[in-house]
Amino acid sequence: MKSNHQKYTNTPDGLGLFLQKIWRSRALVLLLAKRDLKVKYAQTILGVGWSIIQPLTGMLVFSLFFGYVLNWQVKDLPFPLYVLSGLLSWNFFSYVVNAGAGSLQESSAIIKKIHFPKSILPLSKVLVALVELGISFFILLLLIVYYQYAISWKIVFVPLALLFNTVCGLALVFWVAAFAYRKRDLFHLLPFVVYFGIWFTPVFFGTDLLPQNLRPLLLLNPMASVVELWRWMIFGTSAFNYYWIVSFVITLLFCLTGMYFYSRKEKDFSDYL
Amino acid sequence: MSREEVIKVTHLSKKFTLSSTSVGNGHSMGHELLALNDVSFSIGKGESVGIFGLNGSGKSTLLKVLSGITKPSTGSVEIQGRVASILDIGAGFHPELSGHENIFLNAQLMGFTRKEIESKYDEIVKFSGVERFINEPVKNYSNGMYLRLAFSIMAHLDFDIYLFDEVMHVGDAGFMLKTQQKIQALSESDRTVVIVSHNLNDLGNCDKLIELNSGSIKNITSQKDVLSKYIIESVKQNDIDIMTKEGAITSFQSNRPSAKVALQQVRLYQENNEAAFRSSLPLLAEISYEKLSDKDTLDVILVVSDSTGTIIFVSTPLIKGMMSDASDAGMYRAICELPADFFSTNIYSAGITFVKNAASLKNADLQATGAGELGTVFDQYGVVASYSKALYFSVEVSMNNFADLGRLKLPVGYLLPGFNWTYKQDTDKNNPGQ
Repeated sequence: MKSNHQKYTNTPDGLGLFLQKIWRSRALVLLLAKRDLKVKYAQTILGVGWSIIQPLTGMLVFSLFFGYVLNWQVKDLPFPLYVLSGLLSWNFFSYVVNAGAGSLQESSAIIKKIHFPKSILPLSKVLVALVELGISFFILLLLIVYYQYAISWKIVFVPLALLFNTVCGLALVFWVAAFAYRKRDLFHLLPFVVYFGIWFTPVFFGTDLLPQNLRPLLLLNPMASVVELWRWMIFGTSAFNYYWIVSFVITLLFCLTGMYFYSRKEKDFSDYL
Repeated sequence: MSREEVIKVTHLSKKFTLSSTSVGNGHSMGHELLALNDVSFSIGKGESVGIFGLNGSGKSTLLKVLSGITKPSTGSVEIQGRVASILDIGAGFHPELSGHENIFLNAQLMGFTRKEIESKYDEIVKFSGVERFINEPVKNYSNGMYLRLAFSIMAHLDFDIYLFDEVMHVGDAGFMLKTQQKIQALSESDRTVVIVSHNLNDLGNCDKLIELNSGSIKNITSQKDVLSKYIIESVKQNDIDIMTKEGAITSFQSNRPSAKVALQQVRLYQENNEAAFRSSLPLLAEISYEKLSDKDTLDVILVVSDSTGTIIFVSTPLIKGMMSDASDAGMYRAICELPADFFSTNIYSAGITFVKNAASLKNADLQATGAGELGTVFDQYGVVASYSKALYFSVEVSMNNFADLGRLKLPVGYLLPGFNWTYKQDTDKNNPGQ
C-alpha cells in the first residue's frame, strides 16, 4: 500500500505533481465517466438513441441548407460526408469544452466535501465525449458505405487526431478554469466560442470557398487544423499539411501552460465555488 | 513528525477573502476574514479529540483543512494515514445512480480501490438495511435510507483518521444509537477520531479537547470542565440571563395563560450563601403563585432541562403523594429543596407547570367513581398553566476535599449526584459479600 503521508500547505502542486495525481486517479476518471454516461440518458425513452439523433440532425440541417439550398460544393466528397466528418470532430471539441468547464460547478457539492484531484472532473468528460464520437463515427461509416466510398489506410492515425482534438478542448477548459473560478465571466464566454467557432472552422464549408486573403486566418484556429486532419485520415483526399504539426505543438504548449496555471489555482477552488 | 503523531498542525492560518459581489457588479469589496489564526497542535494515534467553540470560531474551517478540502493560507498540516472526512454524509452520492453504484463511487472518490470495496460490500449493504432497494436510484430513497447507506460506507471502510462534523445526530433513534456505538467503538480502537460538536455528550467522551475562539486556540486540555464553562459562555452570548446566585424572577411568559393561576415569582437561594451557588449546598426553589379562582385545587410540577432542551428531571410533590387541598383564591408558595451534591456544571432551565385536581386521580377515588365514569375523571385533572423555561440557572461544582473538579477528569453528565456510597473490605476473597 502506498504511503499515506500527506502534507497540506499553501504551496501549489506544480505541473509535475499535478500530472502525477491525475495518473494516480485514472480509475476515478473512468468511474466518473461511467457515471455520467449512465446518468445522461436516465429516464429517457430513446436512451443512447439521442447520441445518434444529435449528429444526424446536425448533418441533415447543414447539408440541407448549405449543400442543397445554397448548393455549396466541396472537393472530392459528397456534401453530407464532408459535414459529418467535420461535425464529429467539432462536437467532440464542443462537448469537452462545455461539459469540462461546467463539471467543476456541477460537482461543487462534492468538491466542498471530499478531497480529491478536481482536474479529473473535466478529464472524465473527455471519455464521455469519446463515446459520443464513437457513435458519430459509426454513423459516418454507414454513410460511407451508402456513398460507396472507401476509408483510407491513414485511419491508423486516429489516436493522433484524437489527441489533437482533446488538447484543443482541454486547453480552453484549463485556461478558463484557472482564471474564472473567482470571476465567472470567462465561463460565459465559452458558449460563444463553441456557438460561433463553428463558423470559423471548415465544418460545413470548404476552405476554397473562402476568399484567398482570409485563408491564412484559419491557421490561427487550431480546430481548423484538427477538422482537416480528420478528413485527411478518413478519406485520404487532401495532402498532408505540415502546418498541422506546428499548430499541434502550439496548442499543446497552450494546454500545458493552462494546466500549469490551473494547478497553481486549484487549491483555492473549494473556497470560491 | 514523530511516529505516533498522526496529525500535526503547525502555525496554521486560513484567510478568506469575502467578496460581497452583487450580480452585475463585478467589483468585489474584498475584505479579509482570518478564519484560523496561527493554530498549532498535534494529535496522536488512537486519540479521540473534540473540537468546540462558539459559532464562527473556525471549527469547521479547521476540519476542512484537516481533510484537505481547503488548503492553508500559511502554515502546514501533516497527516499520517487515510482520512475519512464525514463533513456531510452522502456528499458523493449521485441521485440518479443506484445504491450499489453509489457505494463504489463514494468509496472510490475517497481513495479506495474496487477490490477493497468489494471485500466490504456485503457488510456495508447489510448494516445499512437497504438490501431490497440497493439497485434503485438513491433519489428514490427515503432520507433515512440515504443516511443509513452513507454512514454504513464510512463505518466499514478502513480509515486511520475519522473527522466528524456534527453529522451523527441524524436519522431515527435506532440509527442514532448505531452511529454513536460505531463512533464509540472507533474512539476506543486505535483509530484517531476528531469530532467537531456542540454536544456535551460527544465531547465529554473525548481524550482531548480543543477550544477555538475567533480562529485561535483558547484551550487544549483533557479536563472536562472547560465544556461547562464553554456552555455557560455560549448561553450568555445569546443574551439569556442565567441565575448564578440568590435571586428572583418575576416576569414570565406562559405558553398556556390561564384564568385559574398566575405565576408571580420564582426565587432561587441557598441557606447561608449569598455568593455564587455551590453544588455542595442544597438549592431551594420558591415558587410563588396567585390562585385566581375558588374552584379546584392546584399542584406544581417542576421541569428541569439542559441547555439543549433535553428534560433532565421532573419533580412534583405528587410523587410522594403530597398534594395541596386548598381551593380558595389567594397567594400561595411552593418550596422545593433540590439536594446538595446533585447538579453538575451545566446550564439548567427550569419550567413550571400547574395542574388542577390531582386528588381526583387518587386510587381510592378512581375505584369509588368506577371505570365507567373515567370520563369525568379526565375532566377534572389537567394542566391549567405551563411556563416552560421560566428561568435559567447554573451551579458551581465544589466537592468536599477536592478544590478543583477538573483534576478528577470525570466524564461530563447532566447531573453529578453524590448518592450514598459505602466501601467494604471482604476478608474472604472466595465469598464476597459475606
